Amino acid sequence: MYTEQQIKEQRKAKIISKIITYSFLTIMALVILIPFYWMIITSLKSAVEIEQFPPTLFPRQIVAYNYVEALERANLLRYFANTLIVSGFSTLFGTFFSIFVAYALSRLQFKGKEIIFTILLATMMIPGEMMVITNYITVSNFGWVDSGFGSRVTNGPYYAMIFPFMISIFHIYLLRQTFKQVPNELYYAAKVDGTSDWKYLWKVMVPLAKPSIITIIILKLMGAWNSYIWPNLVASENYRLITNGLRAAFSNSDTGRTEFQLQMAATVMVTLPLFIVFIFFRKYIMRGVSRSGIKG
Amino acid sequence: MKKIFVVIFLALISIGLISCKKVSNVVLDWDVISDDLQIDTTQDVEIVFWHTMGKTTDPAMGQQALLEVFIEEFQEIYPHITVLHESKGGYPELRDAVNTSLPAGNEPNMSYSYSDHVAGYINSGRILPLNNLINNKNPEIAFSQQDLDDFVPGYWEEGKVYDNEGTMLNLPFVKSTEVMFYNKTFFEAHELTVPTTWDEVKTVSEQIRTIIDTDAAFANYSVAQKNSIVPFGYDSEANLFITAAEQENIPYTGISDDLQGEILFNNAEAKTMVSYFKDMYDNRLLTSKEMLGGDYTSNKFVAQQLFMSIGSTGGTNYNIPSGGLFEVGIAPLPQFDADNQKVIQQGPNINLFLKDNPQEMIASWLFLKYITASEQSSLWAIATGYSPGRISAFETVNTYYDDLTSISARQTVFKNVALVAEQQIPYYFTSPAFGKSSKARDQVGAIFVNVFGNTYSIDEAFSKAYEEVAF
Repeated sequence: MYTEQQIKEQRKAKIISKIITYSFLTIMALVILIPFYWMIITSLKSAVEIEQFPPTLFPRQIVAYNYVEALERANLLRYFANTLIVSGFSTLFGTFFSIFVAYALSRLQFKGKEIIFTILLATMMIPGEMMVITNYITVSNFGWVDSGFGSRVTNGPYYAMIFPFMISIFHIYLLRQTFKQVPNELYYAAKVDGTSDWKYLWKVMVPLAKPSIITIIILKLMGAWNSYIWPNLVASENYRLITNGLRAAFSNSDTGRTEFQLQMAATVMVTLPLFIVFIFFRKYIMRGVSRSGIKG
Repeated sequence: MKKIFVVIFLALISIGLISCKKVSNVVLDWDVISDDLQIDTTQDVEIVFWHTMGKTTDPAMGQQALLEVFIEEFQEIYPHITVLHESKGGYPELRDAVNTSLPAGNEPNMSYSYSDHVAGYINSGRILPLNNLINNKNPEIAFSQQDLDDFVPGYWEEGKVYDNEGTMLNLPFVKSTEVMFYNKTFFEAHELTVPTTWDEVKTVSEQIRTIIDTDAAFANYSVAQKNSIVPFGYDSEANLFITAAEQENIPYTGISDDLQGEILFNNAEAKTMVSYFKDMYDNRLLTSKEMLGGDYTSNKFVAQQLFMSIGSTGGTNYNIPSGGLFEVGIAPLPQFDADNQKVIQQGPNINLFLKDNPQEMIASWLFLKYITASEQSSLWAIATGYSPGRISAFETVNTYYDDLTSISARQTVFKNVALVAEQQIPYYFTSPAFGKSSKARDQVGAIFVNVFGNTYSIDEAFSKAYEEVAF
């Protein structure tokens, strides 16, 4: 039996630990939210107010025109469409390839399977940055690069942005491990029932590996959405992605100054759709990110 | 078995990597293009120009809209040439784009570039020396003596910083320099003299400190507020070091006869120079951008927390207070020695790339010649506030402002900036460009930041900076 004193103390300890937990969570939430708040208020301030010190916590005069000007200055809609095209196709094809390769490497029996897998893994040791020039020369020989003259192949820059990064060994590896966890008995049972490998893949493996596949889709989408250096190299004005637009359109490269009010207005417009996507898919995204142990 | 394959695979990769390493020994050969060229107007050519210009809709705002006007006019003169242009974002992005496109043979015909970018491109062997074009036997291609005399000498020399042979690799286009912006209203109210030397900067700054401490206008200020006011600000620590060193003939960097860059800034005179400014900083007479936490001194200047600010003429706009709060005066850069005046010159140039078709190279040269001509560079200067590369263009800019029926406060500032920039022409200098020159620049800037912030002693800061650059 607990005495009243002990119950009180326990309750006290509980309250204190709750206070600590919640204040920690509040602080962390603020750390995350303040940059967003700052982005929104900056997008509504005038150019003069931004330069003021100490900075104002709320715009003295709301300048909604920043949004109109941002849209006029940068071809944001076009960049947005480009980003959707590039991320959409590279995610779609990339995921299919990962599924096929992972299935072959985990389930099918053929000569040299392990060697292929080892070679694939070995390529992960080469940092992506080292591939930039060779990749560039390759896509350039295909006629996909638009260096201002226009590319030799119609819509070449889209191909140049989609194909070199479509296949990710890491994603194949991730999916192969998931496929390997599916018990062999299922495969044999399916075989006894006369199922083909193709059917087994789509009817059994893919539904079982759904969480991993969603992880891959999310990682691929985030990767394509955030890519910056490569699109800047291979694409001309009409094929740039949203990241290039946000970075370059509002900066004066000679003075090093950025018109933050316009840049932030554009950023709000770009973040909003992502935010909506996040609200709807947050369960999967959170699971995906924590499963893979990396952020993108 | 598996391990053996991994080993073999790695060995193959490393062999591949080793074979990629090629020692470069590029000689800048003027004769890659003939000195007796003919323009073939029957052959249609397309040229591409990469730059960092912002998007504009009105040619009066300069940048892309004005460039497009130039292109249209140029294509009327040479209908067989099509000029395409493309903004590559900022300078680092532009440099990366050129560096990546060079091995693929995808480089543009002409590009904005800083000297140290060009020094990096030289290794590709695809930079076009301009000497045979400048002195071509065909007068339509060559520069006349009048043209040659018209270029601002300091800007012209910037094309030749790559060797000791006089090889010319770029022409000036968007140029700027540094001037001193001062609060004219404040100076007149307190009967202060505009300083012309560093010692005078010190004296005037001390006077301003006294004014802040004693004048009735500052009576309501708290001690912290008074302390936040610093009389003098220099935006770029690196420019302060390089300019002050040049003014005192202190070695900074150099180029040896075998074209190797030399790092020379680690010397006793340079340390004395740094301690001179450190003394001013400690007495709250001087500050710089990094010491303000990365805030531009011009922001402090328009907020009247700083009364003299040295910055790029390219950033003139940012030194003009909104609502005509006070009058802005422009003065030349302070000097150490009236007989050895030096002012840094800045801003990118335009270089050309080597192409298989000589007509393409001729076309890009003709376009370069067209946009760097006096009329075009003065139009550019009026629209953007940058300095033109031609002496005669300075006159055009002056006449433009003189002919205005009414002149706004903003235009007055721009006019005075142009006048002071012109006055400084004889004193322009530039530093040699080589592989490590931009690193040297960053590191001498860091010396001031480390010394001002007491992170390191002067000796330590110098040896640290030297190590960073040299090794």
